Amino acid sequence: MVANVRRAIRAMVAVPLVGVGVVAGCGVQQSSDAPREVSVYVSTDRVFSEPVLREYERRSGVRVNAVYDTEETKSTGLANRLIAEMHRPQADVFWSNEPMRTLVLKSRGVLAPYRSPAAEGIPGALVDPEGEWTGFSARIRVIAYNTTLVKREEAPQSVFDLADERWRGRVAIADPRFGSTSFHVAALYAQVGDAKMDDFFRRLKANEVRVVDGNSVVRDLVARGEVSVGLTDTDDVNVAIENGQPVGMVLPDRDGLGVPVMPNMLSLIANAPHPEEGRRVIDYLLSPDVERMLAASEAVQIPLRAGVPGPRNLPSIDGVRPMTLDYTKAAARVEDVTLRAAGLLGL
Amino acid sequence: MWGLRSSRTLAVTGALAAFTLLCVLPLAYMLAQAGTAAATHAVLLLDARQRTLLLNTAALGGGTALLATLIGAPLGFVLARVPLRFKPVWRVALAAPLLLPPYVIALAWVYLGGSAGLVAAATGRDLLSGWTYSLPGAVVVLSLVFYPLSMLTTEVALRRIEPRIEEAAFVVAPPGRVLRRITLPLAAPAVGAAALVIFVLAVSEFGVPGLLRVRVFTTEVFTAFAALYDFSRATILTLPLLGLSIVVAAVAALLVGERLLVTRRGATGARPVAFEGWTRRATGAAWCVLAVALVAPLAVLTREAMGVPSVTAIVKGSGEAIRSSLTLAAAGATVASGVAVWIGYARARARRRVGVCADVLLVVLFAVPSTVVGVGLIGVWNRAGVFGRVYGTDGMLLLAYLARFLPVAALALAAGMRYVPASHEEAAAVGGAGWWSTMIHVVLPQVKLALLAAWVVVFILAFGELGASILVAPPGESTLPIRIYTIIANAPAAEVAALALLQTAVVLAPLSLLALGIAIRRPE
Amino acid sequence: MTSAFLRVIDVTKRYGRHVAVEDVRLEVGHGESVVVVGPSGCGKTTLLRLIAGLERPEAGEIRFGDRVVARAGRTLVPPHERGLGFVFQDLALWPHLTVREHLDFVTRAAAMPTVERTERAREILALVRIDALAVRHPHELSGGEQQRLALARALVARPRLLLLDEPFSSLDRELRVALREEVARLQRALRLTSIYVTHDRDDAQVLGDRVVEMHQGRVIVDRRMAREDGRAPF
Repeated sequence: MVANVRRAIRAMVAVPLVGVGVVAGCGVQQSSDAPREVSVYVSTDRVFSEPVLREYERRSGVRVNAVYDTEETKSTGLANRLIAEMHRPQADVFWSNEPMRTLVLKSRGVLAPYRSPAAEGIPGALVDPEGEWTGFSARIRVIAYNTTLVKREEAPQSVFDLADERWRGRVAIADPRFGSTSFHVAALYAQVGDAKMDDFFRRLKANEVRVVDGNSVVRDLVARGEVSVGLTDTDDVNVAIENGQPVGMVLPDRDGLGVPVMPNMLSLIANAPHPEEGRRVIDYLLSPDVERMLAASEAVQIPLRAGVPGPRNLPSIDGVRPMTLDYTKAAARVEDVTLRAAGLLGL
Repeated sequence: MWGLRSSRTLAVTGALAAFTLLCVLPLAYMLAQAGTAAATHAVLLLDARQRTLLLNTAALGGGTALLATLIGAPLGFVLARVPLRFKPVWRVALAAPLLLPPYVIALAWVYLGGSAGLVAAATGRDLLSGWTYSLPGAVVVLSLVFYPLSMLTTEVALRRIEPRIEEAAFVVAPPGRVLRRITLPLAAPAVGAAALVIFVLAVSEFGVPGLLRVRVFTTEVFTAFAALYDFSRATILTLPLLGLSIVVAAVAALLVGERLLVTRRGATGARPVAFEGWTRRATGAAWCVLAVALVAPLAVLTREAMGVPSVTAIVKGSGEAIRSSLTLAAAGATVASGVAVWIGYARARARRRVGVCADVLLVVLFAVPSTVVGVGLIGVWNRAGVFGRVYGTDGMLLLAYLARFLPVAALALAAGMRYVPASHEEAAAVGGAGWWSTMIHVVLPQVKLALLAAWVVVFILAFGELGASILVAPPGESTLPIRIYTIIANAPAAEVAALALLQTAVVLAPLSLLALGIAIRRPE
Repeated sequence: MTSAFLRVIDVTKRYGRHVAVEDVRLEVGHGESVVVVGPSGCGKTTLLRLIAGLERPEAGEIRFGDRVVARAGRTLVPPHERGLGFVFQDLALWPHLTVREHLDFVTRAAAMPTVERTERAREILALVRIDALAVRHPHELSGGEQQRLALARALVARPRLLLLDEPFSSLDRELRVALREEVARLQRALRLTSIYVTHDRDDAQVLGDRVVEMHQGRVIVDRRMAREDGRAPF
């Protein structure tokens, strides 16, 4: 027993030294002769993006070191990591599931231009004139409604309907400071102007809107009937539909502003450690193949190219009129608008 | 006093250097970065919003510390003094909530108390939802996670009390009075120290107030990062949080002071029979706490998880992450304890004023939000040269664990070290033993319980760490929390619940076995 | 001897396999002063703890007068209702309380009225000669003063029975002799019934009306002392 204790204590004394050794030892691994590899930071849901990247590994033989993101309200996420790592980047490629973060990164000088030949066929509005990002497969911001509580024809058709007296206490939205909701809000402010949007948020607040910590929570609240309607994303709603929950969706503002379409975005990182490999991954991810894979998966991403078959249950991009959006203008105001909406909602 | 004995100087200086490098430098880096932008953010520190945040944060920390102590300290007393059948099992079961990620417990309460939760479904009325999404709701959830810290600390403190001291009181006074006037005052410094740690854990916790939508500094710091990508703003918003921690730590230091009552280790002789009559009441109370803190949340999560079509795919792919999490958390706990033991020693032997300052510094460093630590680590380590060779490796995860949890290990060991009288060292030195030999044969054996406690606490905290590790995990690698949180993004509730249970099981199983193993080898 | 103050009847106590006290029978009369001697581990401390109610007998019975306070496996009267004063070998002073607070704790527990409490504390401190030290904590007292405090604490509530467990064993000889004399003086002054456990036979000469010798958990000798002062034992 005493011997045991002594041994344990000797180990404890030795440990700090060993610990330093371990840390140093880890450092050595990096400098072994490098097999081909590429680092991709991905904010598109891991369950959808991981198979796509595995497929690339299979096809190219290049090892993909991916860093995935959590839901935007669970950790500060990859955009912050990219900014923090800016002076000595570790990532080669950033694959974002919505435009806002990419635009912030562009404004911080984190991204490098790359005009991929594979971008052919993608609408010009979804390719950065400076080449620092390229859009592909999109999601749509939708109004989800509980099909047992709300008839299809009675569901709200515009986001502005959500401030209607009729839905008092029965609406949920995700925190507008984060993720795709922040994109949507910034886009709306850019599109319809501050006065109208401020008024909208004031009325939402007066209407006892439930502000929750993520689009999946909005979907769950709708599915459980805790609220009747909510603002969320196509992929979230699709999960509920696949699980047989009583949730339906409306593409909002088809007749007015246009439907808020939210493309994935791909960017090469400035001073990336493996720029060549990075470009190759981008070429692969922009291929019609990948759009097809993402459309067929539960992510139900809508292909931006005409001719690539879209997901079932969802209209193709040709069938809807997208909100015409000046991304640069929207991005320039993201901070201001975020704080403004949060203030109006009392967050 | 330190200079001449070179071994001691070497050990303590080495530990302090490691501590500075690991814990102080990342924060210093962030503050230096923010300093240049401070002028523009000065307004942040003054307006009404900040006052509300300060009030909420203080209420969350204070309320949690108080409630967790009210639940934990009596249970600690029960474990130390009241005869119970299967006591080791009770101890493990009652300590188990500490192993559950607070976010998971909060999630369970949302499923239970939300407006379409189980309670509402069962009663037909929405009784709890207004209460669940509130500051008191967050206090209750955090208290149910952190009370075991108070419980275990109280138990250890009570077991330290020489039984004769209580017996001298039993001879003249009834048990309740003895408890109030003799036992509890003697355990108070330890109970207070646990309350302080709980306070810090509560004010630096992000997941629960985030989910329950309580506005505190951590959520504000988070927003500065996640919504505004503004590192300076985030760092500056950390300052009031750290200020609050300094005030609370300083007040605690003044109240508790050096009022360490050196009593002999109470291992000899059987316990007095005085609290035997309390067995029934104690068992009832323990059942109640267990039902609310462990059984209810796990049952709710299990019920939710039943809805998942197939978890096997997720579980199957998690093997590597589980292995790397267990290894890294164990390595983190071992290195942290190994370094903290010398810091604890230095703190215990320091002059009073220096000691109090050291305590306050440790508490403050422990309170730094995980994201600030993570970004600070990137700033410090992601650069050319030796540091850069570590960056991009698993070593960064280890560094993140150390940066966050070395302070709490040092606090625990400093507390343990103070129970070892300096005279023991002097006696060994007079007897001709060298310093190392004295440490190994005389001092460390007396703090092995504190070492074990520090190891376990760091292991648990490191195993659940997400905020800093997701920022520094090398590409292509992940720990279990990272894997789980990246998978549950937008996943249906059932899957989230299933993964939360997986995370709980992975940490619960080995520690329960360890605890029961120890209990069987060393029966009461 | 039906009027015996304390009767220990065939009491046995084991710790696991170790038999600490076996079939011990002991009677103590009113005002009698019994000294229990024997080597370390002979069971004398356990006997004292059984009488105090800090341990439970496995077999046998303990009576205070006609009242059974403990019998095989059961404690019928808890320690604090037995009217005891107990001086522990290691004193067991309460580190967080002052001298005065030590006494207050005891007298409050005994439900003594406030006025009497103050008076009684003053009286007892004077009796053990530490009346100038009322506001000190134990660690601010010398070894002898600590012993006096332990004694004062044991006496302040006017116990019916005083139990002393080698209280002076750690003191140097000079101080031990002085304090022993003092206890003998107090015993006589207060006409206390007492049981004094020691391994020092000199103590028995000074303090005991009767000497009980224990060996391996059993009583092997029980004899009355011949007192030099010719005082009747009771």
